[in-house]
Amino acid sequence: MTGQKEISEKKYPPDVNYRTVLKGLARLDPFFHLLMAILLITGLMIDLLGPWLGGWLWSIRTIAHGYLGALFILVFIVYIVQVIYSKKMRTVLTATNYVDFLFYIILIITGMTTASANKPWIDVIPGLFHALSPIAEFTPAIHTAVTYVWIVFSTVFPGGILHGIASVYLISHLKKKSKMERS
Amino acid sequence: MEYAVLVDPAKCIGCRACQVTCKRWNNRPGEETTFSNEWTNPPKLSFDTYTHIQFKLEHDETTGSTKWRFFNWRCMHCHEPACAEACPVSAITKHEEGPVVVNINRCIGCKFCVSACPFGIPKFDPDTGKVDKCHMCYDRVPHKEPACVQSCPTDALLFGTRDSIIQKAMKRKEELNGYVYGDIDNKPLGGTSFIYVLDAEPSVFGLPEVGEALPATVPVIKYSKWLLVPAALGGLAYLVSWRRRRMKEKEE
Amino acid sequence: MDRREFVKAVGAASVASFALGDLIKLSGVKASAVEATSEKWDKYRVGQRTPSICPYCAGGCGLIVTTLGGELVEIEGDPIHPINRGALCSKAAATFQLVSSDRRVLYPMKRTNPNKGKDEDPGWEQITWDEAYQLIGEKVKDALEDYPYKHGDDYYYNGKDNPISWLGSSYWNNEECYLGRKLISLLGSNNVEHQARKCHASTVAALASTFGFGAMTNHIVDAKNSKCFLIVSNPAESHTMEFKWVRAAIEDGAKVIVLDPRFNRTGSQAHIYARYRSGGEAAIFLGLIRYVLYEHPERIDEKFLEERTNAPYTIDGTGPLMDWKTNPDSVFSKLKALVDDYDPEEVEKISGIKEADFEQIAETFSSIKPGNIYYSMGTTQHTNATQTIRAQAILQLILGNMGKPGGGVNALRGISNVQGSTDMNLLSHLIMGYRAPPKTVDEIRRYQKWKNSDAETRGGYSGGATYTPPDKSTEQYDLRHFPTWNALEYHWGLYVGTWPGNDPDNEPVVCDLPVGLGNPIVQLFRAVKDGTIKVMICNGENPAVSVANANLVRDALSSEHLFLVVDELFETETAHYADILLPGTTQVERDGSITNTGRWIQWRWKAVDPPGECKPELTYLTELYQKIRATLKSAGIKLPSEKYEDDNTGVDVKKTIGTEEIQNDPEAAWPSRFGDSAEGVYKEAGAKSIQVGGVTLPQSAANVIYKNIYDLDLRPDLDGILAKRRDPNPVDLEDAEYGYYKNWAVSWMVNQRILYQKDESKKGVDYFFTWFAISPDKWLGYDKAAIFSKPLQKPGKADTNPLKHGMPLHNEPLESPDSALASKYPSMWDSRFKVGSPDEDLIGTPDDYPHVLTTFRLAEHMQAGAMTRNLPWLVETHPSMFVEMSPELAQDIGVSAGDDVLVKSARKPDGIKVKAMVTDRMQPITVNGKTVHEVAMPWHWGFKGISTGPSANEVTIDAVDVSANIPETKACLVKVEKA
Repeated sequence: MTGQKEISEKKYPPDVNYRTVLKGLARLDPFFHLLMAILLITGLMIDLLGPWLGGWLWSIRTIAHGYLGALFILVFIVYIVQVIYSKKMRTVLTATNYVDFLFYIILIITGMTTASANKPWIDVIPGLFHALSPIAEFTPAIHTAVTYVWIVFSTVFPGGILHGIASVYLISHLKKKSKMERS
Repeated sequence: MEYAVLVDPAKCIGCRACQVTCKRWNNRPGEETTFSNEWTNPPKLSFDTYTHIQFKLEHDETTGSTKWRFFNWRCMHCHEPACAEACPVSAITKHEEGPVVVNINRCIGCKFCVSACPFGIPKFDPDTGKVDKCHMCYDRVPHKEPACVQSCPTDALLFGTRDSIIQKAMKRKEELNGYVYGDIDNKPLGGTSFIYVLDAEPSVFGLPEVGEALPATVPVIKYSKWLLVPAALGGLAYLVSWRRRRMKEKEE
Repeated sequence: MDRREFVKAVGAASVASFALGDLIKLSGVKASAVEATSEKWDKYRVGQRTPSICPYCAGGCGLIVTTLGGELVEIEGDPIHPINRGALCSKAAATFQLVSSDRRVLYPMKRTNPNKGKDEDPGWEQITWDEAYQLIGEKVKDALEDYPYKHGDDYYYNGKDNPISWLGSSYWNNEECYLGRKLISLLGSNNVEHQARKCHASTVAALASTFGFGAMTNHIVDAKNSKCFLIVSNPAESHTMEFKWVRAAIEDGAKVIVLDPRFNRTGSQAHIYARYRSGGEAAIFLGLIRYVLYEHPERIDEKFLEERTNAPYTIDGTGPLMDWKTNPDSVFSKLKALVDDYDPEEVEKISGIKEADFEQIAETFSSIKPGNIYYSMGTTQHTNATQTIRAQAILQLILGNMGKPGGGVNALRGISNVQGSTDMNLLSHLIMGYRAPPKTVDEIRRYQKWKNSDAETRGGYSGGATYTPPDKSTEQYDLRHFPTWNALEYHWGLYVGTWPGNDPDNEPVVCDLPVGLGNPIVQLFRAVKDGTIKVMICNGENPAVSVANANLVRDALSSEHLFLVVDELFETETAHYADILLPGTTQVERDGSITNTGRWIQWRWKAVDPPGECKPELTYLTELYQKIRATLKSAGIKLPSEKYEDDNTGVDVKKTIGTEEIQNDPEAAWPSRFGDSAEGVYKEAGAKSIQVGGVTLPQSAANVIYKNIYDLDLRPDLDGILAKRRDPNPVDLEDAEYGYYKNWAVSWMVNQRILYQKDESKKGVDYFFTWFAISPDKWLGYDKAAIFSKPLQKPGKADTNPLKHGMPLHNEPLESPDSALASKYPSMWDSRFKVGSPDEDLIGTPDDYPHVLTTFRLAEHMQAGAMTRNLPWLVETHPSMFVEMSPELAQDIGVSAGDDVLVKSARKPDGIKVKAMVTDRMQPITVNGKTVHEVAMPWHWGFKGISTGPSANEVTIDAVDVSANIPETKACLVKVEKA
């Protein structure tokens, strides 16, 4: 145990503007969470609005949920590695986060399995489909259900506030702020 | 009126007219394939191959007898199609007449149907990012039989009203002392519009055992969104308690 | 406040969304297909329908072509067609892609690279049709410039040494085949061949000499009347729609016996399947005859033999003998003595079929009637093919299975119009309806005497009362062939005879038909190689892939001195060697009639316009003839009769009927006396009378066996073209029961759907076994099928016993895997020319080449492959060339499935590299006590197209049957080894 550090008092609410937000997003942690937010929102759009939007969702599913999902997996791996090798381990890995990570892992595996069902992943990693195929039948169900379970979990257990809503909140806050500044 | 197709592999001579005719009617390109020792080619169904013939050779070393079976494979057109249930964008429709049809304009390529189908039928195409499969010629039916059925030289494929096809299947089952897969002996997903009458166990033809009811996992996809209700309530409760706590803090 | 509202809104929206979503989804689950449609259906529904006939195999399946505003929408099976009832095989189903292929040749092209060879780029340059005709005309002129028209005092062209040759095609309509034969005849050449030589030449020789006609005796639909099938063919793959009716018979309880060296898709449907070694066919059938004669004499149809065969006669034609069943001099007793050697043990030794299996086969086939024999290339492409087919025919005669529904000896012909092209005789030894062209000047002198006899009485088929042939043996010959020569004189505007005709024995012969037989296909390419043939016009045929020992063919086609013209749909392997490549049309782009394997003559209507500059073949033929004729005329190269006029001032060679003088005028008679449409040529082939120079002549039809196809009285609404009839309803109860479909199109002979079926209500000889049933010096009259047949008496290489060659016997293939068998049953190959190369015999021995090779066809590919290896829908099913072998052999040579192997033969010592298909469908065979491995290759591949590969015919042997000149592509010795 090192000596107690002086913790500088944080300003609340912090100074937030688009520049700081973008700067912040460029860092790994917020980027990770941004991707997650996009995946969540697009996932919810597909599941909730699918019957109305139909084919319009093709690019959202393919690019925003699909390719960004693949990117998310890579970022997730880097993120985990970074967390493990940084000293923040203890602060990051709260009980809630443990569960959250579990959710992420489940969503990643089921997402990948579903996506592998025909082609893209098989080309890159042959054998993956075979490894995952026994669960392929269940993965869409798990993927969808776990998403909602996670949402419930996130809302019921504070500390892991609903990430998507948090982003929306952030944006609306920024909007309000810029409006105030203009007036 | 519901229609059905009877598939009778014992009558099939493996000429693959069905395979080619399907490509013709649906304007699908030929695939680039490679040498197949077994002759099944293309080896798997795909976005461009809705149906194919599987060649199944059995040889008994002791008696020297050989059996070569030709098995027409494609979408079964289930009564309760798991693919349609799993589809989040309602791109798959079960028609009254029997066909289960993918509307590829609606398809978003999520592949939930691919995973959900117990027969592994819907196929994703990386080029278009869409999923497609045999649609039982929904555009022809019921004015005209499906294109593959019209082409079959030996009546190994027969088209008719579902009732008449069931009748024929039962009669043929007796002749063959065999099995009816799709109805009667085995009703995958509530019975199928392609009904197979087989002279051997379904497993010989690689047909899976599929229950009459939808697999439990498929409705989960559909109903899990109801979890948003407890989520919303929980979130609301949290926000209320959080606000109350802040009010209290302010008062203090 | 904001937050609360937001959360509320989100909650409300989400609840509403999935509730509504479910509602919509539920309502969507049951949509109706009645309203559902597609772009294709919308076009198809309103499109215009045109009937056609499938361009692939000889089944003659109906097609319906749907077009909309000239755009091709769909090509499907014709639902009302009696043969296919809407169904199609994989090839036929791909016709759409054949027509719409972007790989088709669209313009006439000229070769710019003078070097020819497999690896040479032809350097195609687009030219106009006129330029193409001009080039061809010049080359024909150069070739014929010094070709002698005068031999002594006689004026004629020698048909054999003529430097112009013509190939193909069985893919053409009858009218085009008719004109092809006419064109080459007018150039004075009999060097004309086409696919039929390589597929059923032995059928023509064997069945004609047994029954009268070398054709399938029954027809496709007739299979449903059979109770037992003996199949030495692969109809499930090669003639898929035939199998529709075999399957129908199976459903009615018929038994199917399949004999094949490889277990194929037909074998998969068999009740009894037996594997034999390629080359053992004759022994099997002789064994079957023996089984009936010795084991079950009660199954012999004695009444049939007595009434309708020469069994009760002696081989000299004396008889009928009352005691023919026991008299050792009768044909019947001779046959019995001859087949005695072929007991089940001997059959097993030769063929490899186990005694027990053989007895089961024999018992089944001889006990169930009517029984039906289906055969094709497995039987015909052997050096003893004629013998084997004769044995099949004799077996059916003994069992009384001839001339009745469900019976017959059924040759399954390969290509859509190969029957028609054979009937039109695009063959070096026949002309128009299996008539011989003039062979010697003596024949022409005899013909002049026949012409000089009373025209009233000699006309028609039966010969004249006042014409007395010099001896009995020529009587039938003369009466059979002369009326056709006479018909061709009038139809084609020629002169055949002596001039002026009053003194046939001493006058000069003037003959516009070529004299002397031409070169059959294998010899033809040797004639190309040695420089005899200088111009070859090859249409819709691909000899660079399809002829045995294709190496020699390709070598010949590369010759500097050869000018090769190819008319094709695609750039084929043969086209690769061409000097001029002309764009042909598909069969839905032109009008015409075709004859299917069951002899039904059906009409194809033009449905779509040809793309690019593709030209309908009838137009091409007409323009080609006119151009060549003009070029030749300007160089003084003319018909022999015209040359005679030139050399003898004041002479006008013409024919006189009564007081009318009829000029020779081939231009006026081109393409036909009935106009220049396909209908016109069709009428000429079948017309009972023609108008020449204002005179109506009661002539024999130009093609005598087609004499009933044009009948203006019967169907004036169709302009007399009976091939256009499309009424699937039966004419009477018998028709309804047996499925003759006599109102559908027309068939030869005289619409008799089952050859040799007696129909006493109609008088005429056409129904019966006809003239060929002839013994050395005595003709037995009509309706005597020949168990002993004189025309087959040819001195063989090793055995000169005339009896044996008047009756079938077993002979080993030239390359036999067993030397003991080879010396006991010496090969019947035609040893007059070298096998494998022009200089030395390239014959392999079992020591060097221990494996037996046979070739075969796949359902998804057509013959030499141009029409299928260019279509992705078919290529995907069988994308590469392979060799089928047993797991035992694969183990022996250390290969596994999919490995590359080399298949070597004496013709191709370096071998061809193909994929090994290791399958239990192939098994080792025990021949004469030793294990023989047979391997099998499809022969569809070549080096052009989407799917390319080595050709099986690079290793096959070009030994030919002595009676029919058919190459032995179904049995040769090879060595298979790991590549």
